Amino acid sequence: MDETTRNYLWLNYATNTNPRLFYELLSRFDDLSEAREAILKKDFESFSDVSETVRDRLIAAADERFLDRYCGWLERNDVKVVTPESDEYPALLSEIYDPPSVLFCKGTLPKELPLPIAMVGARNCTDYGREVAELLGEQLAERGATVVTGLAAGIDSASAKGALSAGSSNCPVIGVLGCGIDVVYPQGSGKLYEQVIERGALITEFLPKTPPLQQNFPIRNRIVSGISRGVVVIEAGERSGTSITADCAREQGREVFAVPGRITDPMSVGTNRMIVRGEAKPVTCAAEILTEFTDDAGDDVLNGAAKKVTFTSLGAIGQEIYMALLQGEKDADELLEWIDCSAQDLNAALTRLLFSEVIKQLPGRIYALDTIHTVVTFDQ
Amino acid sequence: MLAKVESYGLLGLNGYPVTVETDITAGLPNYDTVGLPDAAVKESRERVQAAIRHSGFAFPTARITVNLAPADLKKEGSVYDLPIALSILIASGCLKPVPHGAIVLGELALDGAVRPISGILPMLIDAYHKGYSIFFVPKDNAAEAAYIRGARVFPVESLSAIAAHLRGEAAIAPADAKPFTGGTHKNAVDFSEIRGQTAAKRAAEIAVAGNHNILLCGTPGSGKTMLARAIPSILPDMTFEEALETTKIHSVTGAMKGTEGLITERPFRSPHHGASAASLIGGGGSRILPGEISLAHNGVLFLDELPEFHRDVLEALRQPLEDGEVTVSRAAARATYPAKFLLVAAMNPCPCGNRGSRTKPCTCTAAQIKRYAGRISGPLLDRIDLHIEMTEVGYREITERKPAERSETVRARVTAARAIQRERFKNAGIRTNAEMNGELIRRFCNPTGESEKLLHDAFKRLQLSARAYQRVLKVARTIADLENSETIRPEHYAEAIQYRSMTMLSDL
Repeated sequence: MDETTRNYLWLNYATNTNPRLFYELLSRFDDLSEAREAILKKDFESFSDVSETVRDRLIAAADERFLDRYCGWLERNDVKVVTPESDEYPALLSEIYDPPSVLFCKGTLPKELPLPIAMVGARNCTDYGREVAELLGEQLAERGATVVTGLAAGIDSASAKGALSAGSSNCPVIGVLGCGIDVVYPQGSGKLYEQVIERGALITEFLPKTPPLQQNFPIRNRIVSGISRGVVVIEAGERSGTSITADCAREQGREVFAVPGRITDPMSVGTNRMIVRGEAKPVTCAAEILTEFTDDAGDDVLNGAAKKVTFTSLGAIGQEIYMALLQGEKDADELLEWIDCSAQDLNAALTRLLFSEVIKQLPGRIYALDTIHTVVTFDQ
Repeated sequence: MLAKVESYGLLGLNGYPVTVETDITAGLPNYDTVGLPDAAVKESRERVQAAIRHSGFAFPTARITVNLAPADLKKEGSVYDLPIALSILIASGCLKPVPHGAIVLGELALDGAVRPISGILPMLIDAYHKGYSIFFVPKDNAAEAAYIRGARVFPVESLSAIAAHLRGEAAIAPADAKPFTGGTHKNAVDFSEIRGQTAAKRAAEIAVAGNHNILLCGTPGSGKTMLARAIPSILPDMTFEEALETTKIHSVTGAMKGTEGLITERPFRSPHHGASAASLIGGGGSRILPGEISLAHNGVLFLDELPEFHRDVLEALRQPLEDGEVTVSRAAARATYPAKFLLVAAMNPCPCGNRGSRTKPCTCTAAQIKRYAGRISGPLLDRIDLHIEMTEVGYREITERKPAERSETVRARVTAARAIQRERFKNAGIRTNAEMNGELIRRFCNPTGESEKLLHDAFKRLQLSARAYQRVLKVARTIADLENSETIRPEHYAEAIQYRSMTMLSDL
């Protein structure tokens, strides 16, 4: 690693994810190498106002052997260090109030991000939220945007999965972590991490081995919105972290979008309120997001890729099931009451409809129309 | 003088004759019991002495040696009180010898009354096959013994009664041989009492028809336990052989004392999820008792809150589920008990229980649900053919007055389907579809054309294991049998697939 990077790593280690202090100290020197030598010579003149902890860390990390070990570890683990000086440092990120002093990165961070769009939302999301996140993630990536997410449970990981399932584009997804680059959180995300590293990039501001502490996430969220041109909110509860991220995005001057939900649904209270107050633009498909940034936004329907089947092809019981589900989701017993047929005939018909993706099954043996995948047309 | 009285002992479900020999010689008064007696047998000395005195006899003042032969098997329990007392009285010349081919069993009270013992039925069935045909049994056990056709059973009330009988003063009337009047269904919940849940009831019917194990998954209060309790009511009536097998096992545990004699209703066993492996599959010290799985033989074993059971307990179930019997080995003894049961398991859809509920929110994270479902091992899950998600029962269903189908009607269909299977497998050595092996599946379930395409889709979408795939075929076979259809039609496969597509287990 070159001398500039080593110096950045040194100062970053000492200030420990406090960008304001980092830039304050950086501005005192023309050349960080001099500063490091001064520290090694126990000349604390320029550091008279820093706390003892920081000073101790400055001294400890200034040691060449320490930096050798540190850089060695990073190289062995394929971790790239992106400083504000380097080309790969996202341009939009350097415009925010307190940009991170150093980004640790795994995977490939393109020099110019192709239309980065952040997707944020609740961790304990509903099936609706998960479905929408996957679909929007896929459509955004398909149309050349880069999906930026926090890779948390729920909406975050669903968005990432959706983006990864898109075929095209060079960097479909960037995952921004609230912990060290070598820490997998939440548990069991190892596989998703690998896929993100392979096709996109994993970045974090936190020093290696930092655990996923609660206070890290708001700090992380400013990077998620900071990197991106727009932020899409999918499902946010009454008083949620997601709403705070949206506020933060507005302060950074980012465009905020929200996916509307049912007004009775507790997981959609936050998003619906943003729409009502005019804080966010309601969106129903990827094109409505992209049209804000590019002329080439594509179709403006959510289920543009859905296949079409005719009503008559559903069969007698299939038609009745379809008509019943048009009125809303129903469980097997309700369907049996609605339709006059035996349990065995219903079961057989349900399997066929499930396999042709006309309907989908939700937990609790509840069935609903799968309008995203299939559109049923009526013959004229 | 020397006297011999024949009695009986039990090893697992198999009996062996025990000869009680008593020798009385002149000498310093002494009383010894030899022949590997356990504590209960040693204590019989006190009961026998008191019982003899209180029945109007004098206890001999001489040197008494009681030997229980064969001397190398451990004798247990209070079964030998009555034969020992009789042999002492015979040896001292008070009574004539017991008739040849007679077996005497019974525990004595201090006043000479005879108390019931456990394990009467398996002992006497075994004894009858070995040529014994006269049985002196405690009065309260007589009902159980009376089902052995061709045997003469004398219900003994007290030591003085049997003494009077042997002297020819007052003969004991032999118990009337009881005919088997068919299986009963008195205790189980009737299907018509279950409101709503039409889909789940249909699944239960299929499960019983093909003897498939079943897993019920649903929010608390969705009626999992009630449905499980109703399942014995649609099982076919017990046959005499089944009733005898089941009664034998229950008799070993002493559960049959003072009852009507024969278990004619299919057992429903519902052990708590804190149960140990030994209590479930059987165990004990030198006398190995049957566990819950054997007590459920020919009936239903219901495991509520399946993921809460200890993992080693669940894993111990795998072998008996395959073999239909369990062999428990201890250093001192070994016993094999039959364990053919229908496994009905129930679980919540997630740790908080509300996943899939439309009225209460679920507070579980994906990782929690994954961990919860992961407590049931794949191999065990693979042995359960039908997975059913039960939906919440709303107010409307509870107050519904539409009459539901009665168990009798369902049972008639199940019995018919089972008859088809018995006929089909008469040369294969099995009785039900669930027992089919790979070769039989290939022979009797042969999906072609549309069915094949359907199964291909299912295999890909549901990511079935090869084993799970075979189970779909078996269930489809049963569905066709319920309709008395020789060929398995595409809709039969389509329905069978429904019982494999549990969202909880496929999502994760």
